[in-house]
Amino acid sequence: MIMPNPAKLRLTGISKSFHVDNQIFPVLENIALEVTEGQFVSVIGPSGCGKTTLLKCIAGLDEPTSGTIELDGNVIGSRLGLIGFMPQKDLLLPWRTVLDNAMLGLEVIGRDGDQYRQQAIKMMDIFGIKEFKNRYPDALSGGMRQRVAFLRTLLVDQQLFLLDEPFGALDAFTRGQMQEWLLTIWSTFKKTVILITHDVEEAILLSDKVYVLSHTPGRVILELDVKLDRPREYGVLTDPQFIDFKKTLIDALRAK
Amino acid sequence: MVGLKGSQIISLVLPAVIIWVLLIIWEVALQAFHIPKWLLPAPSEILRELYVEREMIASHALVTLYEILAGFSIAIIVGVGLALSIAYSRLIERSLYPFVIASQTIPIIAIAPLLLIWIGYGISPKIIVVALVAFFPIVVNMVDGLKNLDDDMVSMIRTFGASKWQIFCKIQIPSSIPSLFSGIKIAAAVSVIGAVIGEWVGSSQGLGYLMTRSIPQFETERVFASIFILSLMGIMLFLLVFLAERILLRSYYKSNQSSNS
Ligand SMILES: Nc1ncnc2c1ncn2[C@@H]1O[C@H](COP(=O)(O)OP(=O)(O)OP(=O)(O)O)[C@@H](O)[C@H]1O
Ligand SMILES: [Mg+2]
Repeated sequence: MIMPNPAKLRLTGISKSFHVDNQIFPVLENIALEVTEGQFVSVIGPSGCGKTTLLKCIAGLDEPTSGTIELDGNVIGSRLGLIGFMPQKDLLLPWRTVLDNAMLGLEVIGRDGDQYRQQAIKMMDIFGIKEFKNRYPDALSGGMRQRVAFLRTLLVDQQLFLLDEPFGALDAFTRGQMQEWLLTIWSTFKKTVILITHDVEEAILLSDKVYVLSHTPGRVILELDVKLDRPREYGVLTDPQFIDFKKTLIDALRAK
Repeated sequence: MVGLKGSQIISLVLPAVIIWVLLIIWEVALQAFHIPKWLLPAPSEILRELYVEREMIASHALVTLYEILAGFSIAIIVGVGLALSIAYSRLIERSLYPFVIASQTIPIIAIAPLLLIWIGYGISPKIIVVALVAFFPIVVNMVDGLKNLDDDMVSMIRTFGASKWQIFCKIQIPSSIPSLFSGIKIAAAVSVIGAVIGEWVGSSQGLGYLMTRSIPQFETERVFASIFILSLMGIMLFLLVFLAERILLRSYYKSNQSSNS
């Protein structure tokens, strides 16, 4: 008998509501989502539709009101520690140097020996932040801070990476640079990634698959496979196929 | 080293100018209105007293300084220890925090004489009074700092699988250090008051004792000389804490640090 290769992550019927002042606010409704090993998946949706809530549920920081979350085909009680999560804010610790910030996750899992520090420094070189390693975060620009936060997550080699609008706070130019940079980093390290964004071009440029969520409560209103060749470059933005995808996504986002 | 910025120069020069102006007005006004020395001595007379009686004043000042430093150090150790345990364990918080607060509702003026009865006239009851008034601002401020933590930072470190203890050590304690220093600064100021109160109630040495002995004899310039030394001690202690804070919390304040350090 042939076993189907289980998805790295599968969400079925995920709903989530918050209780505020005895009232129930539904935030997510019946979300189904699937990510296979090594895939780059984006979730886009209007502000406040529950994207961060969705990631927090996947990471195990919060639990959905109903539905199941499977990792490699298994429902796991506590997912904390298994899934990398890069939050919307970089949340670098101001009292730690850049290197010590990057080491935080490794420290938590007890891998803070010298060889791990050396490895971290090597990675900082690839990330273009090695020269800042002994500086404190407040000396860094927004883009550099995001790279440190990203490295902090990546160094702990977790099974899945959740990125919550990592470039949302950056100016358009820096964001473009960071997208290109993420594209090369991803093709080097081949991680399984879920990226939250509300930038349509960013979603198409980076992803194999894009999910579009509706206004609150968030429901999946479109699942789009981005069949564009890889490796991609920033030039792909003017590709007719790219523009087609873009139109499809914008139409879905506009629909009420 | 960083050079002094304009605002820093102003913050140093301005108080000095104000003090000089006040001293000159004080000096001139006393002579103009013929106010007797025992009522209010002139700055020059206080200075003369400080010089003429320097050995006697220094011997009393050393005792008081010792009480302040000892009580202050105990307050820091006990205060930090209490704050850490209160913030870490709800059980400890519930059982200990009420007593910490209650300790401040009893007037120190009432406790000080009791300490004399229980412990005697030596130096230790004064050290206890200092510690008793100084530990409270440290505990309260540090507990606030430990509890007022950034939820997003905690979520971030939890996704690495961090335990409660790791969150405490890696997020809570470091982010509480600025509040701890606010508490220590207040403690530095009240330590001086604590030592004087401890000595007033009953002692045979120290600046507080010197003041109580000088007042009935109308040696007002000696009282002022003592006050002068006491405030000097308070300011020095405060500055010491301020410097320690600057050095320890460099990263909170200073960003332009060289990268190849
Ligand atoms: N802990 C909570 N308690 C109550 N309501 C919450 C809680 N967390 C989120 N919400 C609400 O859920 C809704 C979705 O929030 P969420 O942060 O997931 O949105 P988002 O899609 O990430 O928005 P943005 O694009 O602005 O980041 C919001 O209306 C928010 O107010
Ligand atoms: Mg969000």
